Amino acid sequence: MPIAQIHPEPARRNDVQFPPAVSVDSNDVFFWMSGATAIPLYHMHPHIDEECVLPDDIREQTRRILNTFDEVLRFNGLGWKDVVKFSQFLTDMREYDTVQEVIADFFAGTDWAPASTTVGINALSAPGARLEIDVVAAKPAN
Amino acid sequence: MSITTAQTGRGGHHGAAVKVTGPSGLYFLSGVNPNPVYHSQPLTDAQASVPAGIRDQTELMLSNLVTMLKAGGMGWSSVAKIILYVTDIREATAVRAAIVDRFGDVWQPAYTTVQVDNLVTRGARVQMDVIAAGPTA
Repeated sequence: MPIAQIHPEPARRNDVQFPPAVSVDSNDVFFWMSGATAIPLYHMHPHIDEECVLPDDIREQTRRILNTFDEVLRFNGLGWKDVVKFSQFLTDMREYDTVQEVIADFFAGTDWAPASTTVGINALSAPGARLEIDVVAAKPAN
Repeated sequence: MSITTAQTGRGGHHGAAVKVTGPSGLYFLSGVNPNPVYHSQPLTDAQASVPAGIRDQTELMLSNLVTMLKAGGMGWSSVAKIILYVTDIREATAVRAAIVDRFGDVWQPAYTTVQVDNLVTRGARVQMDVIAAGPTA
């Protein structure tokens, strides 16, 4: 699996600590999901108020997010065992443990959990959204 | 290699998810921001200086993005995923508008958008983390 540093200006390679990009060759199929909050998968842009009324309860918000991903995964012939990475963006880090409990429910029975990164952030694009998750999934080429 | 909008049970939805089928080269870009791609560490004052407005900052960032994509023989339609970091979530709409103005709306990568406290350089309002898919090396 070739992995390489990518430089627009190779002569300036030593000017920077980190390369502008790194490439990895892959034969597999990757899915990059857009980040989801608890608002419906299909929603208007810019956001309209009616679609952005959310339950305050973090459990319910987490469930709605994971149901959105469940739909996208299933339709593409994937399951939770095919998820390789979670990024979790929380507006209140004290809700971390509760969010993890709900996530664990969705992975129950798979004997699998993805890599995960969690950060606390200031605000999300939908008012009232307390959590956004984005997901990367992969499967072998047919 | 193919990069397409992933379908859902309710049909195609621009931006819900992007599917990359190999063999492909996956490109993980360092954070793309309005500052010069090549800069000293720490940045000089001139390198760290950014224009005040979100639109001007976004244009510089997108020029840097194009430079980085070209290095891998890629363009906008190679972009699979963007995590957009803004210091004011109300400006995310302006960033997306600048992107559409430059690249059109035929191709939509998967997006995640969040508001953060601070970016690396003083006054910076926007940064993007990008994953792109192109030919294998």
